[in-house]
Formats: sequence, structure tokens, C-alpha cells
Amino acid sequence: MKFLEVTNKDLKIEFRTKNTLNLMLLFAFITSMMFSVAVPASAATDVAPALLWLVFLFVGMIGYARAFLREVELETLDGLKISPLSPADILVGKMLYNLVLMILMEIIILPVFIALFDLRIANPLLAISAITIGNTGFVIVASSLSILVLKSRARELLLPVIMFPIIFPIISSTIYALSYSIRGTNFEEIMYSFSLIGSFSIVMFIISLLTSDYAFSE
Amino acid sequence: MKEGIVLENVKKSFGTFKAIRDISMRIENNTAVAMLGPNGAGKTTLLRLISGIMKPTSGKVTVFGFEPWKFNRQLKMMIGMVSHNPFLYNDLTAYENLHFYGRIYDVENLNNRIDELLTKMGLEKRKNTPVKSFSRGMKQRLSIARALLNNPELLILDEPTSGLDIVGRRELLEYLNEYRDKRTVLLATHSLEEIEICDKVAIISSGQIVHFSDVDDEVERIYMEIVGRG
Repeated sequence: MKFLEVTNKDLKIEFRTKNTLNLMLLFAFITSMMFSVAVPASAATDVAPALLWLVFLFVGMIGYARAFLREVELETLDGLKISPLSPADILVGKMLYNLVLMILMEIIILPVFIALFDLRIANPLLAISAITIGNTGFVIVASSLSILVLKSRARELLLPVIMFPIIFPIISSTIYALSYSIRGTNFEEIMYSFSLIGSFSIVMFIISLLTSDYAFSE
Repeated sequence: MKEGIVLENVKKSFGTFKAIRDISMRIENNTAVAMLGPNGAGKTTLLRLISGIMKPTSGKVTVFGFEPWKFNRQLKMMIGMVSHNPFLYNDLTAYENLHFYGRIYDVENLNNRIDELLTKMGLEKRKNTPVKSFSRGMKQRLSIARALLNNPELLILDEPTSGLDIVGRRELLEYLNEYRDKRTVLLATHSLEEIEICDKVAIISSGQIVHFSDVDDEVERIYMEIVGRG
């Protein structure tokens, strides 16, 4: 359970400085506002799931990579590497930290987005589950890939390039699941999407744990 | 505990640049070895290879019988390192930084140990001050406290006195003088004065160990000859 030390430390720093949270929130509010102004009310139900995911994707791109980048910028990653924390501990600790940030973003952004688009959600529980499961998969993939770009000079540009093709199954499945939840139809399709996101995330999680030793080595 | 530190034909390259060129050496347990060399000689790279931060391009490094770049909790628990970078979080206080690392290293009686080290490093009054307000010397002292938290069997020090004032430097060297009797210490330095607390000295130049001997009066002359200033 050493990874919890990494999560606790990162959360303590983040809640103290609010650097990443403020940036994520500001970006989420601005994009939600812009989308709500641009999209006509008649089309809102159809496009809202994709737009909501677009918000989470952009915000995630800004925020989730920061967990590792901060260690690189502060040059503290070497301190973790010589410590008795395994690479897997560091990775899982960072994932958990990102997961907490993501849940916070969901809690804040979701009501605002629903209000701006005046959305009527037929099955709110399923909708929230779809967003949470999708975001969890996103966090796992983003955290795993962000280690790989750490040594690159153009890491913040490189991450989206390698991440979007890999994360596409999660994006599409979450959008389907969210659309069906908003309409309240196709329960079976929603469950299918959930299982696809779940299995994809588990595979990515296992791959990232197995390769973490090599990802951290210089 | 198995034999100390063994390097066998170790090479490390960064692209086409060869930072370490074929180093072989053996350091016995409970020995203090100074790594002496000019800037860019490869001292830091060598210490990073021994600490496990880097893996060699070729050759083999073993520390207490383990290859340090391969994760091994038992080995990591035995190493403490002071580097150019203090490995500290600026937004945490001195206490929070040591507490974080102490928890990772499973340090017993952690709060007492933190108080003891902060007092030893003269930082007890700054215990609850964020590290971002520390001077370079204070960060260096806190970094030394961090490295000593787990009472390591192998203490790796990469220019530990840089940033310290005269008093801080003298106190650190006195402390290291006591510490080296019971532990293995590797000290990278430019200073001929600092090698006096060590048993042996390895002079490094252009990624190679060009001289390895006990510390004696000849070291200064040999070093000056090697770096071309004699």
C-alpha cells in the first residue's frame, strides 16, 4: 500500500497550490460555456454526450500528465526511483491521484454542463456510471502513457498524439453509453459499452504495471 | 551482507557521448571512497549508476549483491543519496518532506527521527516552513537529513557541501567522519580537502578511473598531474 503515500503527497500539494485544479476547472468552464452557446437547443441531446467527453478529454490532457511532469520539473522523480517504492507503486499512486482529481471535476462540471445544455437525463445513475467508468479508463491510459513521454523534450505535445488512437475505444464506448443513458434506451448496449471499457482498462492497467520497470529506467 | 560494490566493465553512453568508458572497480563494505574529478569527468553518472537511477549501457554494477537498476526493495532500503537535486517538494514543509520519505522507508519512531535529524542539521526551527522559502544551503541540509532518514548502509553523496556555508560544511564533514566508520560512503567532490575523511580515493577523468588508492599525501600531486594543472 506504499502507493497511497504518493497519492497523499500529491493531493496535499495539489490542494495547497491548486495549480492543476484551477487550470482544469477554468478550461472546463470555458469550453462548456462555448459549446452551450454554439449548439442549438434542438440538437443538445444528440451532441451533448460527445461534447461533455470532449471537455473531460481536454481537461484530462492538461491535468493527468501533470502528476508526472511535476516530478520531472522539480527533479524529484529520481528521489522516488532510489526509494523503496517500486515503479508500479509510483504509477498506481499517480493513477489514484488523477482519479481523485477526475471525480472532483465530475462533481463540479457535470451539474454545470447539464444546466447549460438544459439536459433531461432519463437514467442519471447510468449516466454518472458511464462518465465515471469512462474517465477511470481515461485516467489509466493517460497515466500509463505519460510515463513514456517523460524523457521527451516535446512531451506535452507528444502525449495527445500517442494517446488519442489508443484511447479511442474508451471514448466511443463512453459516448454510446452516455447517449443511451440520457435517452433511457438500450440497457444492453450500455452494459456492453461498460464491459468494453472495463476490459480495455484492465488490459491497459496490466500492461502498464508489467512495463513500468522499463518505462522508468534511464 | 554480500560483498560491497562491484563494477565490471561498466559503460554508459548518452547518444554518441560516452560518459563512462569501461570502469571496473570493487569497493569493500564499510569503506569511504572519494570520487575526485573535474567537471564533466563522469562522477555524477557513476554515482547514478551505483544508486540505480540509471542502468549501464553495458557491463554490470552490483551493490551488496544486487543490480541496483533492477527494483529490489531490500536494496533500496539500504541506500541513501544526496544529489545535486535535493529531491524535495517545494510546497511541502521540511517536516512533511521528511515524513513522506520516512513513511516510504518504514522508518521506526518516525517523528523522533525527524526531530533528531532536523536538530542535527540546524533546521529544527524551520520544521513547519515550506521548503520553497529555504535557501540553497538549507535545502542541501534538509536533503542530507532526507538521505540519512533510513540510516542507510550505503550513503551516496554527490558534492554534498555545495551551497553550504563554512560552518555547515564543517559540521557535515564532522558528521560524515563519524558515519563512515559504520557504513559504506561514496563521496563525489572537487575538493581535495573533503577527501581526507575518506579511506580511499578514485580519480575520475573523461569517464575513466585513472587512479585508485588509499588517501595519502600523494593524492593532490597525482590529481594535479592528471587534470593537467600540476
